Amino acid sequence: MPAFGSFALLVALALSAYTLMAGALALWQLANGRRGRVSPEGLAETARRAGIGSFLAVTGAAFALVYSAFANDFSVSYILHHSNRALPWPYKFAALWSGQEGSLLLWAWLLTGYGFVLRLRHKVDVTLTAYASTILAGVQVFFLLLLNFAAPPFSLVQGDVPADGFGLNPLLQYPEMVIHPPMLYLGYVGFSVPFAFALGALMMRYPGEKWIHITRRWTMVTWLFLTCGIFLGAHWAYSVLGWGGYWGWDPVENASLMPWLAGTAFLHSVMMQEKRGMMKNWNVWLIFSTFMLCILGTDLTRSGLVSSVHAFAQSSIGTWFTAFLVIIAAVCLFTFVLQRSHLKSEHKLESLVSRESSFLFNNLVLLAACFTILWGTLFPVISEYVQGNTVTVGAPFYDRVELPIGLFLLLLTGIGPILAWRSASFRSIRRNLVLPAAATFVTAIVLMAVGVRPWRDQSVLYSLAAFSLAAGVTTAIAAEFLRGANVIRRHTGRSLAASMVQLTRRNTRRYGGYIVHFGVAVIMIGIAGGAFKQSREQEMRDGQSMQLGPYTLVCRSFTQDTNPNYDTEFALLDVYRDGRKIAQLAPEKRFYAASQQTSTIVANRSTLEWDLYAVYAGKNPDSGLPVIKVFLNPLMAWIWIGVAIVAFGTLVALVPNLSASLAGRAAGGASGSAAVRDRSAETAALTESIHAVPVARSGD
Amino acid sequence: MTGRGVARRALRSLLLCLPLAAALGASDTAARFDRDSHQIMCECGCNELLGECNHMDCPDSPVMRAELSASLARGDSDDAILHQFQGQYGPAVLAAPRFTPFNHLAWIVPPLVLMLGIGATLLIVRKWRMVAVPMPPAPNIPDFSSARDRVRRETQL
Repeated sequence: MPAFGSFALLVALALSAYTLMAGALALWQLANGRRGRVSPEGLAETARRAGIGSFLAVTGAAFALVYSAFANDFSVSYILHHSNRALPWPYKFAALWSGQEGSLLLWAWLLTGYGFVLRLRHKVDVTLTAYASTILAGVQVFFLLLLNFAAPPFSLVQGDVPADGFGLNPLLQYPEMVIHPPMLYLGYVGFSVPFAFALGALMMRYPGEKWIHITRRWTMVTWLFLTCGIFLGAHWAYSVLGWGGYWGWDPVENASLMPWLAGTAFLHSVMMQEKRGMMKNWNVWLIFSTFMLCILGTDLTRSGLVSSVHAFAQSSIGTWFTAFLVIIAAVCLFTFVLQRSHLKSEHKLESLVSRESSFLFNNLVLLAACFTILWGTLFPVISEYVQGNTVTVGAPFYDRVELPIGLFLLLLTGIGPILAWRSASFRSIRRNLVLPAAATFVTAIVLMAVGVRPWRDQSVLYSLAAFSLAAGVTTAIAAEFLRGANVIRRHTGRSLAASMVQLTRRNTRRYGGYIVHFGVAVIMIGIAGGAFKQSREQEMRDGQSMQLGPYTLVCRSFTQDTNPNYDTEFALLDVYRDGRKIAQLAPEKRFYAASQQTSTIVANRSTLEWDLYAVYAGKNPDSGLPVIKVFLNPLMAWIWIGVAIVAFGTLVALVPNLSASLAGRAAGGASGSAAVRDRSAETAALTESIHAVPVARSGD
Repeated sequence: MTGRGVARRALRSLLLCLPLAAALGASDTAARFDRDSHQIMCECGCNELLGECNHMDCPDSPVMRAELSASLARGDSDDAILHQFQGQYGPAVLAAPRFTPFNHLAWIVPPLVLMLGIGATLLIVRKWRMVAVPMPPAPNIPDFSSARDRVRRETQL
């Protein structure tokens, strides 16, 4: 199998290189009206097929690695270091992305997979897809060069092959680690597609905004994957690391957040290009930057330039990434300089008080947040260069600098949707802002009345602001839904709930976006709850109790268990509230035999109010007594609920509009019934009546 | 009272409140321990803040916590404590850059960039608005005005 895997990677490299070169030659011939022995169209077709073949070859290599893990083939160095015989099968599968070489193979597989779909769907626009396919092949070549020469996953062990492997890092032996990395990588790698389309469209001076329509779903799906990947990682950290938090501002975490912020900015500003033909330069650079940030993040964390607690942080492949980054930046800059005349805006901004300007500010704030993270991540390196010593840039820095930026963003989330395109009159703004502003102030006053004291602590001040702004944003979104649903209700006589569903189906993108904004507000409420966190640590004998908030924890017993993979010690804690037993928690400490490492498994009782989070910290070496640390984390569940709402909203936004699909069916002619046609006309008229107003420039 | 007078009085009240708020926050030793232990990194290599290092067999955090408690008991100020830790363990022990002019750059640059960005955006918007934008003519529909009025009425906008 290792030989097959290595051969498959070589074939994949050859096919990708052919896709790149033949594709580039065909496009050059087409652009310059040249013809060789083979027509450019024929050459481009062979390139497309080779690209499809590269996916099959990389799939073969990935299969070979997973097969080696399942077959306990410890002659493969990667399997020896990331698996063992007693490892449960889901983690053997996860071994594919548990180390440097495997994760690069996963990256290459996903990249060629995206390319496979793109090349199969080439009839959407044959020429533009050919450009995108060629650019994507360039990226494929880089990763396959790495896999073949710098970080080969099928290297064989020298000398005697051990009977068992060294095991998987215990921190990675948790269910979420089976899905978190693929999700994250689907996000990282997915941004290659809109990047390739944007660069291709610029190279060929593609007329109009069709490339944006083609890539819209790619970008949103990618963004959704990245969002889910980031939060799954946060939930894993919360459940496994046992420090009561979920985000530590580690460089690897920062590396995932930077492209997410830039991608979010792109998703917003691209709407200005679609609707108004504006911000073309900006959008092209935003998607270029998003892709480059994906590469830069990987470069920073794998080159050893910045230290990280994460696995596979340091290696020699950083130089490869740096070189690749320079090449990408050079190609983007060169293409931009050559073709920038093609990116002239069709409209100018007419008013500072408009949807367009809110998008501008939204972009500015998102990019400021992104820059801050980049700056904080790089500052230790800069400090070492300038001062001769390294410094730590940790949570206190980011909490102080990023939180105000996040609150400003939350404010914009509430204001943006109520502004009209082109220009909004102060009368309409006042009318639309009254309720959200009232909700914001009432929430702040009520919270202060019930005991939230913002002047006592900066974190409490930020929390109060977050709660209040989230209330305002939620009110603004609810008002938007109600206003539109009322119009439908009056026209159709349906219930309010049915009208809301109908409204959403008529403009899924807009109302899906509002749902995403609501999800963000819910996440911010969850994050703000962190200001009121409580914790207590105590040595506990059998029968001894601990009080935290309204809960009493009584230690019932300490016990041990063993299985072929690990030995475990755990505490059984009965949880009482108001004298009534409500739950039993069993925090664990595991010792993995293969890797000779320990890991914590947290016990958590999660409610909407708070999480009761218990950690078995081990035994006090002096007294021999077990130590239990318990956290009371308010509103933590709201973060995960908010993420689910964000995911739901994104899925809604991906659904085609009802009017478009009905119109499409009605246009089917003979097959479309008169009723459908009537419905389509009615839908179109209603949609127009609902959405015409915010676009109108008026002194209404 | 003039608007300027009200603003001045509000500012003065705010300035008077600040030391009071600081005093309220500083009075509690447990709160100070919690706050300071979240400004210092544990030295065991776990990359955790001292206040959050949860390794039972950690060789460093118990010692560092004891030093912090002793400093607080002596009545040292927060800055003095952080200086002391920096002197003992090196600059990387502080969880955020402090004390040197270069380290202050870490804090200044992000808000500065944001401010410059806002300024640049406002300038761009102003420049764009100075360019006359031709308005598209209203669609030539006979009952456009009545339709628009109906839409506004129905959507209450």
